Amino acid sequence: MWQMYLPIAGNSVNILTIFGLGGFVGLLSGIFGVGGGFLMTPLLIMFGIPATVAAASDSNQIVGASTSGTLAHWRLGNVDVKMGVLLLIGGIVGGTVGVQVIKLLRAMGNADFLISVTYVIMLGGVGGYMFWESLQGLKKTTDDAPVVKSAPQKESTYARILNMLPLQSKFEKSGVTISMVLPLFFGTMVGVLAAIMGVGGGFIMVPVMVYLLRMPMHVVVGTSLFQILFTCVNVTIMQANSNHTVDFVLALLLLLGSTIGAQVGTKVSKKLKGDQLKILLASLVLLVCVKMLAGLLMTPDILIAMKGGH
Amino acid sequence: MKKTIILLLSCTMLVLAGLTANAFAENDINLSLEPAVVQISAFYNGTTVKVTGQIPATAEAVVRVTGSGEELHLKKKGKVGGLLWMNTGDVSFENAPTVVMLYTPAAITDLEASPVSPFSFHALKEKVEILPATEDKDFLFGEFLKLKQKDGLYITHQDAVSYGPIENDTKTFTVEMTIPTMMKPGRYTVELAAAQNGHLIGIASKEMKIEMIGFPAELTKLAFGKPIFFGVMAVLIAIGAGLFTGILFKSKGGAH
Repeated sequence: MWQMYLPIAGNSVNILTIFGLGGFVGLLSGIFGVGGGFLMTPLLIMFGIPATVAAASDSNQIVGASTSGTLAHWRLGNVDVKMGVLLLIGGIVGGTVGVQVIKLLRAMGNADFLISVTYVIMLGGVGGYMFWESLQGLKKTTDDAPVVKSAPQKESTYARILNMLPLQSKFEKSGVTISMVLPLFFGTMVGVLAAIMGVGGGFIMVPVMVYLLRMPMHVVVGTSLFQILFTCVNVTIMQANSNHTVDFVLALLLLLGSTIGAQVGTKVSKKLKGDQLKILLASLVLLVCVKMLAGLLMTPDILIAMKGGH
Repeated sequence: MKKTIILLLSCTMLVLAGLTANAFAENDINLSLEPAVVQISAFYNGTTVKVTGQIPATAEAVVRVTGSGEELHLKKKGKVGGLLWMNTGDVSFENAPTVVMLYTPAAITDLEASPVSPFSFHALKEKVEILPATEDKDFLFGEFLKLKQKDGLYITHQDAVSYGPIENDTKTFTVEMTIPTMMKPGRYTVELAAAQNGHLIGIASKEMKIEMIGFPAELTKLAFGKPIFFGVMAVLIAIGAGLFTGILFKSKGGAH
């Protein structure tokens, strides 16, 4: 009774399961500002959706979830449009470069090895650092010892380099004054990595904004969703046109759950402190890292796989 | 002289018996499908197709469903640096049927050792070509079977043939075929093999069609016929759904 046929995926799914899946990932999206592709695609494959259709349809649903999430964060004043646009331009340039890099690696014959290792290092490094850093932050806030005012801290080398860069500009929403070259550069780097790893890059972009662009966590979430929205619009149209792998019925079912999940997630995010948000996202990233590492170390049940998955 | 006549009569009777048996086998091995056309609508969740037919009273029936042969490109997994499991190369399977479903009777427990062995997966291995030819065919075909079995597309249903009462030296058989949702639209061949006294005495076949109708059919036509329009439509609907939920939550004061 609750089954629905997906014409492009060529399989039937339980409506409530897919709705629930969308809701769960949408919730994470609203809380952390990540697209959730790195979680949703493997989950869909688990439910019998071909890898290529899962990835393309997920992009389609992220368009809906990030629209809903961006709107909610916009109302809360958490979207830095200027920063988002610069990161987006960098991301498009980086994505184009990344596609060429992956072509070159494939021709050299060791692309899969590099992709897997990049994945684990990135997830482990980013997740581990975020976890440690936010744990320190949480410890400090719970410490009852009186706060002793210290002498003004010496400016770090990183901050001095940032101040020396040209095209300094004030980003009102983020409350930072930095060179416009910086978001363009980091956007490009994340774009390259995202193209190599075959993901949207939200889980790399969020730590970049927090640690390297020094944006407040709540503005990071809103701005990340704003940028993801445009990235996924592009991916959905490209996938539909080139590979015919967008299953609109699947995307719509996921959407119903994820748009609601994203709204709830935004409310949850508002109630959590920056460090609490960071430690939760770090735990999630580390969990995916451990799962990937286990997949690389444990003998697979079947020693061949369809092309198109990771 | 008398002995010669008896011998001649015996030979004639044996030949006649053999001819009768052959004629009997050819005329009385048949099958029909209900329905012969499976329609996939919006809420399709697989279905069953009933295969019924007739075989000689002492024969056993084996039913096989096969899809058309396809070319599959797969990735081979191996250990890199003695530590990490990952894709280590590409292999292609040519002429591998999309689906192979076997329904055997209780009397046949080992299909490969039976007269119906041409229906077995072992026989299929000989028809499938694996490229590059230097690869270990036995190993790769085994892994390919595991992959297809995981999706329920290569499967053997044992003790799945039921027989009716014997009438005029023939009996009816029935097989309830489960059509999994992963069986794609297309034409499939349903074959019946009858085995008697350790021999394969005949094969009959019918065509089964799976087709999309209504909403799934229209959507597929749009996705492949007007892909850019389809992509833009998918994006606009997603944005619309996102905005609608956003407005809905706002008007409800952010219900949880």
